[in-house]
Amino acid sequence: MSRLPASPTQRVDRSKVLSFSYMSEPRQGFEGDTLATALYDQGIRIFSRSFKYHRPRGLYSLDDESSTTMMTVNGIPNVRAESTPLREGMKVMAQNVKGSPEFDLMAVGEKFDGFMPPGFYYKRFHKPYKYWPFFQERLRAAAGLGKILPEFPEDYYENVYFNAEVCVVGGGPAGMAAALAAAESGLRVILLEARPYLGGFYDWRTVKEDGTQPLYERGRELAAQVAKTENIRVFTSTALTGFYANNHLTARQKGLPNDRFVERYMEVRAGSVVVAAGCLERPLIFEHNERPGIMQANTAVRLIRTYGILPGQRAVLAVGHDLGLEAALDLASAGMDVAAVADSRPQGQDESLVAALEKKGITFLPGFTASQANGVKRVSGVALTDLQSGSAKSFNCDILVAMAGLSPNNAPLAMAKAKIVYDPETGYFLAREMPPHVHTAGRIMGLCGGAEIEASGRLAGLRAASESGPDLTVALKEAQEALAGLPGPKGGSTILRSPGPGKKAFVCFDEDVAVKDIGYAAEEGFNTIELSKRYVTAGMGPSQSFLPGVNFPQLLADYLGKEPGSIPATTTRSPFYPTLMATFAGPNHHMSKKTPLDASQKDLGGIFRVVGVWERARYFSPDLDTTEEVKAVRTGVGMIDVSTLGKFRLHGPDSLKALQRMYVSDMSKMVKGKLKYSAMCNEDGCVIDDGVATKIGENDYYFTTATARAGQTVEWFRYHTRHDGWDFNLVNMTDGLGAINVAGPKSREVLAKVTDEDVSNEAVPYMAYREIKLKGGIPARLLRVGFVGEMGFELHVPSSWTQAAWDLLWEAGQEFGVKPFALEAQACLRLDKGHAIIGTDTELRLNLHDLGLSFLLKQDKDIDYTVGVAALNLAEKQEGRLKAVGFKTDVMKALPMDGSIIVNDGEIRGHVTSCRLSYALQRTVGLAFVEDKYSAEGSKLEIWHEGLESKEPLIATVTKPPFYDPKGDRLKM
Amino acid sequence: MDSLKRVSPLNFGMDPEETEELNGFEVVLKYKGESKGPALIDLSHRPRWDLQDGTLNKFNSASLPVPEVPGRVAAKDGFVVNRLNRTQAVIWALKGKGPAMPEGPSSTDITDNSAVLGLVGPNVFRVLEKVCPLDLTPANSQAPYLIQGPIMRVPAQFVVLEGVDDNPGVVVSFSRGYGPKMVEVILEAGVEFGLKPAGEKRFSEWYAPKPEPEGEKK
Repeated sequence: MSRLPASPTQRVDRSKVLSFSYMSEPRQGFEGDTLATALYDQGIRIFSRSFKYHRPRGLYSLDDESSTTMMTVNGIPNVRAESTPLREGMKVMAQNVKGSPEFDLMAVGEKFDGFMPPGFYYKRFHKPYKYWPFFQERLRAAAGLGKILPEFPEDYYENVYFNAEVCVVGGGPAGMAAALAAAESGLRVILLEARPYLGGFYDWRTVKEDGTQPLYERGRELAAQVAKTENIRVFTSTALTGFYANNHLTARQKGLPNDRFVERYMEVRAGSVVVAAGCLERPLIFEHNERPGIMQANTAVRLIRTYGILPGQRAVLAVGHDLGLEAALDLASAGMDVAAVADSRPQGQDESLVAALEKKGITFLPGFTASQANGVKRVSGVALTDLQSGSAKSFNCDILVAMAGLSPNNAPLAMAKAKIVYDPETGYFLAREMPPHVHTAGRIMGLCGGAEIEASGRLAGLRAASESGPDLTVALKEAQEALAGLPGPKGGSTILRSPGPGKKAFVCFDEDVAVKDIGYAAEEGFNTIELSKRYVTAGMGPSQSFLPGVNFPQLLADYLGKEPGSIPATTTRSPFYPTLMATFAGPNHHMSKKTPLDASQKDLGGIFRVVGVWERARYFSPDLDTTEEVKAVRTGVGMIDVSTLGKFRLHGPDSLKALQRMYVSDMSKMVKGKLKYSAMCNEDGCVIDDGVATKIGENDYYFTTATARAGQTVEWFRYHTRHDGWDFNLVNMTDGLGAINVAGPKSREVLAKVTDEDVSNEAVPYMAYREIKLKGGIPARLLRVGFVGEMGFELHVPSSWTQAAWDLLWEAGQEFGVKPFALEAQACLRLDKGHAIIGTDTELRLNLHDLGLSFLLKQDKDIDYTVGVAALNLAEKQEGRLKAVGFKTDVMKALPMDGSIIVNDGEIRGHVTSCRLSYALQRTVGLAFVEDKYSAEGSKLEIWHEGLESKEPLIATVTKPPFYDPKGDRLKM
Repeated sequence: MDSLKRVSPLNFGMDPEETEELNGFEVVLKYKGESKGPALIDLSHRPRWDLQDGTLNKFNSASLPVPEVPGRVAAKDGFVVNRLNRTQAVIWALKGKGPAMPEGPSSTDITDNSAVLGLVGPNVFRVLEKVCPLDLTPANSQAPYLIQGPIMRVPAQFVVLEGVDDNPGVVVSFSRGYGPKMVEVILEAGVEFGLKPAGEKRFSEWYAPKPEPEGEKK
């Protein structure tokens, strides 16, 4: 490492050496380096190859504005080396090359660039179209950036959410001044800065604008004030990625070596926002303007001032702003031979800077600009052309600093829907007509000098703060007066392109889009910016519109003979800066629920699956065979955790009205101690839920819903009674009550052992409801139900007691050979009875009639209407509807998969919803829905499913369920 | 058969140092090796009741001060009453035995409906920023107050008992089934702040009446 002597502006810690590898060779850098600056220090000049022509690309920018430094780091492709903090042990490889960045075999493609104008896919490879697939495959193989790593390296990514009265975007002088001003009122202020430190363009500048203090010192002074202001929270290395309605901002923060996270996604909700995002350097467009060694002015200066790296030996600068002249002086002061400075402005430069150049003996060429860079893999010289006469001068150099001028960084404001208009005075696109509670400050307003930049920041900060309540009338007046007394916006050069053919004068480095391509597009009729963008693909690469920026629309306007500024920039979309998918995912917690019996079900060998929001046991056998579970229920006793069932208490004077509105049955017939089975429909008469309900007191009811409906039931009731003003109250008891179903011929004997209550058939008949106590005083609601087709008792127990209740029952069941059973066994058991599961065996095309549940519908009940009944009445006689049917396969144990299609008479007529091999019947039974003309009992269904070995379908016969115990005798024992 | 006990939805996987029996729960008062930093405390065993009525204000009394405005919280003798909306409030007995469940059909025991976590100590709001998008310390807020909204996309109620001084405290309640996952998520979010589980004693000591500063004693 050969760095310049340490200086106060530098940000690298030379005491902390970091080792990394590049192309498998060991390298070193310092803490504070970016990956790109460390590589540059190590002599690397070609960082990548371009996307289309595989042209060599070097270090051009340092703020993620181009994709020229994209590399594969630790297996992750497309990492921007220019903004990635160097970390110990990084493994860095070049990407998108065959060979190395220095010798890339794919570079031969540039020889055929004449065959690759905009839209060349369509022009060259679609005629005749039959050859397109052949070329498509090869073109796709050649395109793309980087390779996705199948095993994404494990690391920590997080999401974080902030709220504040004021958020300031940009930690430069304007942003810091705004934050400090806003914080004076004690409000919560958040300051976001993309670089790892505050300071903005003060950070590396040594000029003394006020004659006494270098700007970098002033920047650090402001940063120190910000740091000690407790109500300002500063987030550095944090780039704004989106600006949404109501001041909802998103950002991406890169972790520094000491941070726990690699990268994190940030959301900020702020009362007011100050955008002080500064300016970008507008690229100068000339032949070969992206050769390695050509860089932005701030890049060259920051290499010296921030990282202590001399960019090269001999520099030429082609600029269009005073910052370019300042850069020339910085390069010369650092020891570079500055051969010449071309300034596209014929006059208007800061006279003191021109004088300083002359004093240093630097050739200054006003009205000149770069027209062509020489060299292939590195810049070796440049032709500087007089814009008036066209005469040119040539200079040798290994560094060419090129900037057309500046361009306000309007992306956040554009996304926030500020009106961005062209200002002919400055040549900038400036934000006008701001959205509510959004303000601008600093260079983004076209301001240049530190005094006005800071004053604008203070004014914006005060304005933002005042919107949260404090009376800042006096301070605002003072700040307005202070700013009014200072210089206003000042532009730079408006040069668009240098003289020359424009064939390799690139507007968009990412996509290798040259000036000439925009001309082609305009000639071919792509005369609006959004059409042209998509045709030539300028701004559609990884760095989006940072480099094409305003050059692209201005060039298009120029080609079309329109006024400058008459074509707006392309639409700005988030994320402005690339964000890893892992960052959006964050820690990636799957927020699923556990039942009160989760641990014991696992102890019993439960194999779990996530079902909706719940984690549930689906099997109890490692081979997923449910035979033993089913057998236990059919012949002895089984226990299942059904805690996920929706459970609700409904109370209040108008509760019955609410039930009548929602359920299709007449709920007024409910009596205490007895369950009523019914269903709820949506407005179309489609069944969305079923369950049992009972009366537990005066105007007091208890009902169950399907698991999937538990989370929506309260809102469903409220929505469908919203105009009635009824006085009823719902308490969702789903999580509060665990539930155990004890089912099978021996279930009563098991239950009798854990309670002193009479649980005989006479005392607790089928569909009875009781409130009982189990041993130990455990309270339980007892529901005599039979979903699985056997005598069964569902116990609803306070969740904290549920494990104790299970343990009691389990112990009691041992002498009867009790076994646990899980969802899959339950699915088989209920299928014997033909019981549909809402959502599995139903869908939104099937109404109550179609499901064969018309018997539940009661029309003449004491309520003005019931949800869905009007639609049911309309559909009752409708022909051609799908119907739910039961079936048995003709081959006893043939087993079509759930979802298998039914194809009769050459057309798809329906599909299988559930199908299992019945233990009790020793044959396959299932449920399906089919067009009504195939739904009559005895109809033959032709079932096809994926993986069916035979070329013939499985044949099934429509059979009316229940298939097992059709009279229900076993439920009522 | 072991003695029958009620079981909390939460388990920190730590060895208890001190426990007590409360309403059928074996409550951990203190864990072995507790730290003094920010703490995550299981309060799920604490009695809680739902109070719903079309005229909720009629329940407002000295023993049950139901706030008149949704979002407000009344705290009294270790229990807090959170007004959720026009017709609903919930009552949490966070300390001691608390009052008995209000009589009448408007009340429902919801102790087992939710999991409840206390977060006390420095930086607890910093921890919650990583799992919750809500503004838990809005400007001009005066603790105690109620915020309703998601934590890790799970609907929740947050009661901020003490605001943003150096020793804040928040109690958060959400569906019981999410309890185990929520503990895992919050503890992970709190790693960099030193968030550790603690027993109920840590909460009750934190929630004890604060001594008045010397100069303000009457």
